[in-house]
Amino acid sequence: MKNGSFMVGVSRGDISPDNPQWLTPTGMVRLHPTRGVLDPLEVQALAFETGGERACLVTGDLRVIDPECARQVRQRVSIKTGCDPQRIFLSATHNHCSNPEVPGAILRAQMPEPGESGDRLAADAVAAWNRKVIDVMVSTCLEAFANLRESEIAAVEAPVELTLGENRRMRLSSGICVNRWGAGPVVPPGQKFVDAGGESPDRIRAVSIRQVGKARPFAVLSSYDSHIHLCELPWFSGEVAGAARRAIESRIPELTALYASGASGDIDMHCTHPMPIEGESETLEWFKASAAKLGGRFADAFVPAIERPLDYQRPATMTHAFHSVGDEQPQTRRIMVLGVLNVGDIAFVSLPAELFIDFGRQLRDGLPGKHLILMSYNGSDSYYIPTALAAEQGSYEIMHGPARAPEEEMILSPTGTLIPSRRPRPGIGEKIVQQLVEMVKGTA
Amino acid sequence: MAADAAFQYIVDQLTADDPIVRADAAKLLGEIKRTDAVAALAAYLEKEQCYSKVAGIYALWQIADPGAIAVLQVLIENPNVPDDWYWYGRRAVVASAAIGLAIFGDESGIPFMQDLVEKNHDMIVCWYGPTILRLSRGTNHVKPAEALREIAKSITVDTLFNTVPNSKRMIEPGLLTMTAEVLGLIGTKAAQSKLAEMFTHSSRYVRARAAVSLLEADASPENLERISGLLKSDHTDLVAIKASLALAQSFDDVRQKYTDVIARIATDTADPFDRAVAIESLGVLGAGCHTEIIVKSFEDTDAYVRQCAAEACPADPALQERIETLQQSDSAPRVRLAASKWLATFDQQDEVTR
Repeated sequence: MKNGSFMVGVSRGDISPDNPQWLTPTGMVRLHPTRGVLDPLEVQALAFETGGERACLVTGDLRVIDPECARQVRQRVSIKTGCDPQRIFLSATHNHCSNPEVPGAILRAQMPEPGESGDRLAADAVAAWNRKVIDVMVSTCLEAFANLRESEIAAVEAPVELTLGENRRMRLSSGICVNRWGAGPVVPPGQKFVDAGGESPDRIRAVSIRQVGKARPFAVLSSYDSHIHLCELPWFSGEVAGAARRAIESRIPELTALYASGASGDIDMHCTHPMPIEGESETLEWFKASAAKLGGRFADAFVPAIERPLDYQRPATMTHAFHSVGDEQPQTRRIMVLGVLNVGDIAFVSLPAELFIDFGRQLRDGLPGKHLILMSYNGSDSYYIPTALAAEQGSYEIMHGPARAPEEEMILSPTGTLIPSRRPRPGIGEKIVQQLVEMVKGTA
Repeated sequence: MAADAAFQYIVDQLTADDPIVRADAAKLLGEIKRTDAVAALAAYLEKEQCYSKVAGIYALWQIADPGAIAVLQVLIENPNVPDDWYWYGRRAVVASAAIGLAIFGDESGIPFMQDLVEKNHDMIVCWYGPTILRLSRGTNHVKPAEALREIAKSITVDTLFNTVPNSKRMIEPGLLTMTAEVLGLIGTKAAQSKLAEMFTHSSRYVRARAAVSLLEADASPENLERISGLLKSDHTDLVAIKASLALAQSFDDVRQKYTDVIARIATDTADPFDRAVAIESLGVLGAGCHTEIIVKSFEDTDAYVRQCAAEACPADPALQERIETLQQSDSAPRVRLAASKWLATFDQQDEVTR
């Protein structure tokens, strides 16, 4: 390791499934057998080295990152590079056209080889893809460390003028909330709309990294508080995050763009972009056009912000904090991982999935002067994390209700074993914010 | 502004960019009940593909012009919204068209509803449960199809609670709030007992609706005592407003006392939603002694509070100029719409429900 220099490397890898026809590319129930890969699924890695310390940030076109996948990637990259595993942060973009599963019975009947041998092929394809994700994540991290170059880093904030992510919860006059995606919710007779159930994101937060002596960045990592999913689609795709990365890369030569999801639990991109009502081919065309439009809109907001004069710095040290609960008994406890990596006045914050946007604001309010880059879906075994008021108001995110007693945190899985419930516990989001503020302040 | 011009302004807003504005316009046209809105609403329903669509259907129910039947029949076959099978939007359009047809005595949408009833589906039992129960009782003007009354009979306490313990109907506050409304309309001792249990729910919106429904079920001394107990133990403004509204509506001897409680919250609370609900409640109570609070709320910084104030404003000629100012210069289109409705209906107080 080279002391006294701020070194950064970047790399990318392809995690598209090799046998998409056997897989279902989303966690939600699907209507059609998979057609194939619409645009490649990718992972990207950003490796840092300064003051004799190393760190690595990994982003990827994954609906979620399995805790076991995160554990294996951290362990293998740490062994090969000497990087402290607690400084390896993983983050999924939460595209739904990813993370293949074995198709359900109805879809299996429509697949190329129905029956037991088809089931076996599908199960093998899922296992092969899971292995591929881990292997490619590891190799991408190693390649990023192999590409280290003397660099400087700057924080970027890009205001978003046009509609992109919007609060997807709608408040009704009785005080409850319903979701307003697609054709939307039931709005019962006699009730009227109040307004959105909470705030919407107004900016992209990012870092720009350039080689010393060069004018243009070679890597950017953006974080935006929104789901990027548009509709159910029988194709694998990076969805809007993939489109945004491609749009940014097409405007800045030799750039690798990374995308992380921030505090996005109650934010969506399809409230005002409802899908068409026609058939599959029309839906596919709409999807492609919408992803390109929204990805272009993202780039329109983002690229001018990184082309302005930025306050680049070469931090001589990095500090970190890492907090993990549950992984000592992974079969009976929910795994919750929090991480902070301070690089100059920038703090990369590793978060569990689906925190409501208000918690992002609370974090920033608690840490004035820090540029926070939120990276969620980090391999924690978590679910929606609403605010206390949102939990009272209801909506899809609250559909599972709050957990009230320890015994309610355990549920019976389809295979008959007791597993930890994903029902949001009251106050968990507030505790996460408090913990992270202390972690950043304690290591700053 | 003349009533016709105000009415036309509302009709024009059916094509606004914002679906919430469009939904408000449709809702107001339903409340105004002018049959010359039917053609515009039919055009709206033909085009609309968003969550605001059902507001147009409800408006046709309220106007109750037979010209709506053909429009609703088309929606049964072709709701013309995305097939969001996982959510409710498409089914809500078909169900509300089916209910609308049943109001006109047309049973062509009944099979769709019966299918959902057999599945004990949240959509019919909870979201549309209150409407079905109310409509099935009929009024002087509405004699719904017999099949709708049969569907209403199947919505019982047992149906509501015949679900697995951790189902979303038993947990999610939105569905529980609707369940509370249904229980109030069922009104039996068993329903009242379930409502009283809801007083300890973690959501203030569930507790508030349970209080209103309990008195709707039976304004008995026992329930009066239950609500008084809730008011003492619950520290949220929302529950205080809704429980006070229910008490003021149910018992003449405490009407003024609880109207004053609501007025105090309207003035004091920092939460804009609670402020809006308090203003709305003063409007429901026709609280002339607190008109000043309503009018003062025209200047509120929160648009929804101003909208509720315009809706709650009594039909007093002395206030016309203030309403006209609101209609012409408020920054929020929904406030301008609410003021337009006031102006459009100013001369028809007996026919229009404010």
